[in-house]
Amino acid sequence: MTMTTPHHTRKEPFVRLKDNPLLTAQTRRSFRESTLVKALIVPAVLGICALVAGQTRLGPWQFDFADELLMMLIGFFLLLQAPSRMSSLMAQERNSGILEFHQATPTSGWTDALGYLVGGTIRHYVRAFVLIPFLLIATLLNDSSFLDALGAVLILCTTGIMYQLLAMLLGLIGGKRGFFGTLATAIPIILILFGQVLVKADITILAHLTPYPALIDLSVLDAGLTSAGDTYTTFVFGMTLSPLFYTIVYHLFVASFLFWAVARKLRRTDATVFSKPGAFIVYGVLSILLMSDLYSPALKMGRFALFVYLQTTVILGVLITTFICPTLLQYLRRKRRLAKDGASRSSHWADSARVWATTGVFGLVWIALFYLVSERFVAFGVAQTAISIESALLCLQVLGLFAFTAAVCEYAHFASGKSALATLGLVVLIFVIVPWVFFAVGHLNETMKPLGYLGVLSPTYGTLFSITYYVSPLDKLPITNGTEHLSHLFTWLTTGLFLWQTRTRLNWHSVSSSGGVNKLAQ
Amino acid sequence: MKSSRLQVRGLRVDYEDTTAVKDVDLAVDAGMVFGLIGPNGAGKTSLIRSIAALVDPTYGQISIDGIDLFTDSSAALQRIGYMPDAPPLYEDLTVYEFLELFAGAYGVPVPRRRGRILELVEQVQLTEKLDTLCGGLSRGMRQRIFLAKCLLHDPSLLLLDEPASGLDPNARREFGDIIRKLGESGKAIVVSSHILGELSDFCNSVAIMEQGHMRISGRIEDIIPAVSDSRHIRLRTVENQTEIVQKVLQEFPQITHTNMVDNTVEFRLEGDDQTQAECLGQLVGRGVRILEFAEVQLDLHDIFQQVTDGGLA
Repeated sequence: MTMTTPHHTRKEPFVRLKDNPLLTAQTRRSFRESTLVKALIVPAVLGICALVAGQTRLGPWQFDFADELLMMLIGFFLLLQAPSRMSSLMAQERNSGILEFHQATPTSGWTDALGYLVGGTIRHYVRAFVLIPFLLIATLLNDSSFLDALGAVLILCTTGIMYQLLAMLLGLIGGKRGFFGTLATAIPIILILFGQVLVKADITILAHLTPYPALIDLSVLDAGLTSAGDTYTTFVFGMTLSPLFYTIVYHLFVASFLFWAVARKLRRTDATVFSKPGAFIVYGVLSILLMSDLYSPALKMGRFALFVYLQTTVILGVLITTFICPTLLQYLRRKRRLAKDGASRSSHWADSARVWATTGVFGLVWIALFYLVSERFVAFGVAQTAISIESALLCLQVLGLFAFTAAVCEYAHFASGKSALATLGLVVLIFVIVPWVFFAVGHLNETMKPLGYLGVLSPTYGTLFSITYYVSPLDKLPITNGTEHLSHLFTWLTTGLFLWQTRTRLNWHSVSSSGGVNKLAQ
Repeated sequence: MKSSRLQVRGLRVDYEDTTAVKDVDLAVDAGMVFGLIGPNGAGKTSLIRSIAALVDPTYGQISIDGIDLFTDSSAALQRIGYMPDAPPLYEDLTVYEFLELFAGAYGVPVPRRRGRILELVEQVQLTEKLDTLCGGLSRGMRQRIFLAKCLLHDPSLLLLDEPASGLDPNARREFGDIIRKLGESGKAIVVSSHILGELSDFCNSVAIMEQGHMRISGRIEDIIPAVSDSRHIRLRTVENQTEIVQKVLQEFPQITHTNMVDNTVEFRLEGDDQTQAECLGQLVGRGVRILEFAEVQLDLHDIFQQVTDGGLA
């Protein structure tokens, strides 16, 4: 108690690679004596079992099976176990209150995110790396390339980092809610299970969310996953790229966005996942990347690629909108701050600003890119002209869906008076699941056909069929009988209704700088 | 002009259906052990959490050693040691590892880290527990570890939110001693509590919060004359002479709030030395055998009751 001023007032770096306190602490937690033994012994035993299994299954010195088994084990540790651990670690840190201590330190969110990511998963990486010598033995005995196998491990690592960051984000968003923990485990499983379908369908940008394209390129997987047999080519805007190279770049690119979001949430638990400029960058860049398939030399996917592009960019816009809506508290604080400062307007890009401007920009980006891709496809005789009544109606419907999403998100956060997540779930049930169930029942059972028209109640109904008809005008099925336009109308009406409810509720809150949060109508 | 260690100006903290802190101004200088008093829900924790950058205030300014918390939060946070109520620990880290984590986070240089940790665990009398897992520590020990954690980077401002809650009387006294010494060493310390007895032992300044408002703040010796324009007199007699005493006191309109218990009478006198002397003379003249007739110094309970409606437990 002799010093009275801080003796180390060094400037905190943006990110600490060396002397990262959380990395050290989390590594220590991962390697307490008991867990270290398990971390080393369990994979070693599994490695021996894989070699033995490879030999007994295919006869002496046939180690193909062992190769694959070892890869699967490494994949299990990095793609499934590590994300699951990260999601629960983040939830624990948040729920125990210890995350607040880190928020009260001068370290940056990037330093903390790096510390958690490396320190929290290091045990799983050690487990995976313990298997590498066994992989070496298997490749030597099998006369296959050990370098290719190492390349495959590298790809599993980059994929793992992406999945682990996603799990961290979900853990931070979810807190005590188990749903997000389940989601953190379910998403990698779904991607791994359906990844082979994405590879077969040649949807570059989605297929590369899995390690499969690179593994095929490395000849580690040769199970005829692609339509062309054992080869896989990555086309990006007409350029032919190495799937291995593209996978690494793409994974690091997606991981950097997720890392950014995790760093934000670590420093401020109630922050929106993305800042509004960040959301715009994420949406714009991913939309442009999604276009890359449409520029393959022979338009190899034709209508299907266009359909996937249009649908995916719409879904992406909807998802990102749900991640940028501020809470009522953030919104009210901002209003009062403005009232105090005497300012009538502030930036629409502020975290606490309403989502309409950003969602509107998403809509404009979607329309601009839609125009570009439509022009290209018209030239190939696949779609209709970019400027037509049909395309105008499609744009209107997509804007309607974005507006509906923004209105619902704001209603859930500002006006529902219940948990935003629960309200969003209820809206999804009423406006997505139930109408589609009616639609399915109506079309599966001839006697209940009128029930099928209740599908129009879902805004997704109009969007899905508008895109389908736009992409395939010649194959137009009389499945909706033009009711998609009714769905457009209904989308805008329900958007207006949610907006009105939110507006009414917000008017209840006084936003004067002197008074409290007065509810004018109780 | 000397600047305060902590300066809060026009701070407001809103929640959805309540305003926790309403336009609060506060200045805490070096050497001040500042007791933040108020009933539960007064806004003490929200104020402390805002200063620790854990709550976004609606508006207002906070600066530590002249550094604005919102424009240079990293530099400002380097000057703060924050200890919440019932702080959690990593149960699977040892005391040393836990303290090293935060020494690193606050940028204590690597060569000085071990020495600093050893110095602090000795100070909080936990040297023998250095290699014990945090999960095996008692509540009191945890509080002391947290105090050590707060001091690792030698901050100029300590924020302690209900630091002694859950401690036994001995641990509470030891904790108070440590805080007093820290104040004497020149740190500014803000301690919130709703237990006045706990604060009165070591605070030299207080602020009273009620329903989000800062009712009064400053050094205790400055506050007393400000909150009370009357003298508190205690009269103790040899035997019970209630009737005579009551009669004499009623003759003085300047005397109010009379409280009699057995041989002791306490009352307020709104007058000067002359009136006080007259009163004493009357009592002696009427044959009251007096053991004590003295002005009583106000304590935190009295200050709090004067300022608020006395709603504290």
